[in-house]
Amino acid sequence: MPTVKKNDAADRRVISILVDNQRGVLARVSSLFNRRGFNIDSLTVSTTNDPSISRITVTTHGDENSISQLLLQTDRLEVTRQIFELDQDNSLQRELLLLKVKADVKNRAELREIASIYKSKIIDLSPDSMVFELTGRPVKIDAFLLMFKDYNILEMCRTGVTAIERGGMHHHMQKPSQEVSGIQYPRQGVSARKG
Amino acid sequence: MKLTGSQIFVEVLAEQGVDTIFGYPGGSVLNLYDELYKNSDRIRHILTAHEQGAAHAADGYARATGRTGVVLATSGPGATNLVTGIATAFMDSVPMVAFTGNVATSLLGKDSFQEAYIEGVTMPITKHNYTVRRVEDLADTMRAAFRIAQSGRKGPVLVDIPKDVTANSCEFTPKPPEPVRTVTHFDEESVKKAAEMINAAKKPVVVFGGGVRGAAGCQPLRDLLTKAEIPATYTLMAAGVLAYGEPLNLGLLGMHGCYTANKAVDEADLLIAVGTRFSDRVALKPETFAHNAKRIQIDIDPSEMGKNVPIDLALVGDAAYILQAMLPHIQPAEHKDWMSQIREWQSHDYKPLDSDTELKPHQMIDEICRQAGPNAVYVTDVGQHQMWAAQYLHHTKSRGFITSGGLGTMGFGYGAAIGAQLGLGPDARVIMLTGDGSFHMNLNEGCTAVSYQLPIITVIFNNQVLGMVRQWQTAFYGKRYSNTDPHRHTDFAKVAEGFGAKGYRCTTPDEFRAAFADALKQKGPSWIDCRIGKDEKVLPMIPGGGDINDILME
Repeated sequence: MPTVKKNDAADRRVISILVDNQRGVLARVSSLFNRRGFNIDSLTVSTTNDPSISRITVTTHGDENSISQLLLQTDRLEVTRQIFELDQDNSLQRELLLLKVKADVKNRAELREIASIYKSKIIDLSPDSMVFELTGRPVKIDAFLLMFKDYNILEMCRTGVTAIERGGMHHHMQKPSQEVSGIQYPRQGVSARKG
Repeated sequence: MKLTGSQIFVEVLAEQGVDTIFGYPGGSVLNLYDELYKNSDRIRHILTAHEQGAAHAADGYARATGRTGVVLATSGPGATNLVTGIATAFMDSVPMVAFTGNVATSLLGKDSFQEAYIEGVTMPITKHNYTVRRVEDLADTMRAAFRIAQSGRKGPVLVDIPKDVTANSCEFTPKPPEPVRTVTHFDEESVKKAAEMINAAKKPVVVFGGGVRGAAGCQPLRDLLTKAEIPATYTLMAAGVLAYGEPLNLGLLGMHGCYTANKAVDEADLLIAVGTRFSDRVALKPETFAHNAKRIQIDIDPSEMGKNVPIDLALVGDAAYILQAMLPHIQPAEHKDWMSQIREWQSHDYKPLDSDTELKPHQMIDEICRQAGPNAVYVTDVGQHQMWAAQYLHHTKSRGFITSGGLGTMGFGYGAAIGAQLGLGPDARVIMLTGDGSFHMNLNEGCTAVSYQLPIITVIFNNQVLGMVRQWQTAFYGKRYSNTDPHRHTDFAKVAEGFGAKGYRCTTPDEFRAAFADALKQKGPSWIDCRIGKDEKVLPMIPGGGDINDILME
């Protein structure tokens, strides 16, 4: 049975963190998340076009206050150069899935049909298994996995979400790193106290 | 100029204006200690009995003077012994730089003798930490450590230096210290809005905390209080910012705060929080804390805004600058009804009973203040005596009350008192208040106070039990005194003499008066063992998670 995430796309929030590309940076960030008890659904990290900067993409869920704490506490880390939430409508989010399913002569055709509808690639075929590769928004991956609930999944892994803003918006990467200022509270669009 | 890592270490310390460091030598820091030996005229090294004592001493030094405390320890156990001291400084936002030696880079990660991954260990209890793997990086890393420790919300930074880095050489260019990055900017519109809220308030109250410990923050705060007649209460970290007996000073807030202070916060229509984070010992029940009030929070750390208690208006920045900018917008005001209500509550405040024959904590503290005068600096350990000290000391100055608030570290006191005395000089009057439980944890530093002839007076509130925990067991655990009655027979006066300090033991107010007067004449340290009743309680008390309606007055 594939595990479908409890929280649906609606309350999934995507946070981008630009950090110093140095030893131990992931340990610092993940230690903070663990210590503060933030809900992390996925986390990806890689270097960027600026070799001194790594980009961490985090998907999380929770109320305004916990998201705000995640942003503000992470911003306190010395390695954090900038942290911001990605707008769902104005950002591109992708995740990669590798899925190995038990397959034989009898069900190969139906599996190929699912793959072709989802534009998933079959990247390995053996007498008793098939491996699918799929890239897409997390919801698409979730939907694809649902199709396999009656099949025997042997192994799977998902990379977690990586995301970037649409269009020419890349000011985050352009600011001289040392002058990037800390975020202020309340964040734009977040009211300090409700009611 | 080409220097070794050890020479660079000393040069950068001197460059940063460091003249005193606390520490303990060991294998991995032999090169550093050799260089300290050669430079003993520039940098004074204070040798403690234990690395934990050294860390608390650096902390106490920083709290007393406002300068960054520096501690040095060897690898492995030396480094791990610092951990409690670093965590204590972290929780109370004290600027400190800790240096640890480590095994040579070629031996790192191989479970070498006295190796500990101190960078990983201290990651969650430092503002930032470093392992310096190349001598070329040493100078700038040390400079960054001092900058980070002192900037914004202050705190500890650790720099781990493998042994070969202290031996290798590289080119060194001296640099003047970077100016401390003070947060000078803030949102002027919000400041005006806050002023409007203050001007409109009928029942305002100010709660201030450790964020106004620095001298700069105190005066604008006092000006605000007097200009708009706003009563104020404080957290443990800010005792002394308002002097004892000032009419607008309501006293301590929170779990062991006074009735009036807690009542005023409960009834206020406007709460102005300055440099405080609404910890669970202050806002014991966040849902009902100041529930009738609009809340303004002023803090240098944006992550504290609304973290524990929701707020209506956030002002991020240095409290001194914000309050200064706010003052012109504040209309002079009187709150007669509110103040008379407060005076009425004050008549219900808890008043402990005096005794002529037995030692009573509040009377002892009165006597200490009377004899030691307004310029004394008080250091405490953690427990009942700490709360009595917070409640009854005649606080007169900021930085005059040094205590472990956030982490609540028993054993903090003696190291911190040593650091404070060394930071303030031999003429300062440093008094440490402790309990027999706390003092047993780190009294080994008695030897340090003797070595350096520090005239610290230690008053031991000796009730023979672990009083604070016992008090909880009395109130909430059916008097089942699990492991709080240790049946120790320590004769502190004799232990003091064993260390080479002066020891006293007293059981009556007269004996205490005489002992303290004699201790004031000593050139070196003295300990006064004071026998108090084991059922003395800290009152009032609001149980954890409770509010003003749950307050216990007897």
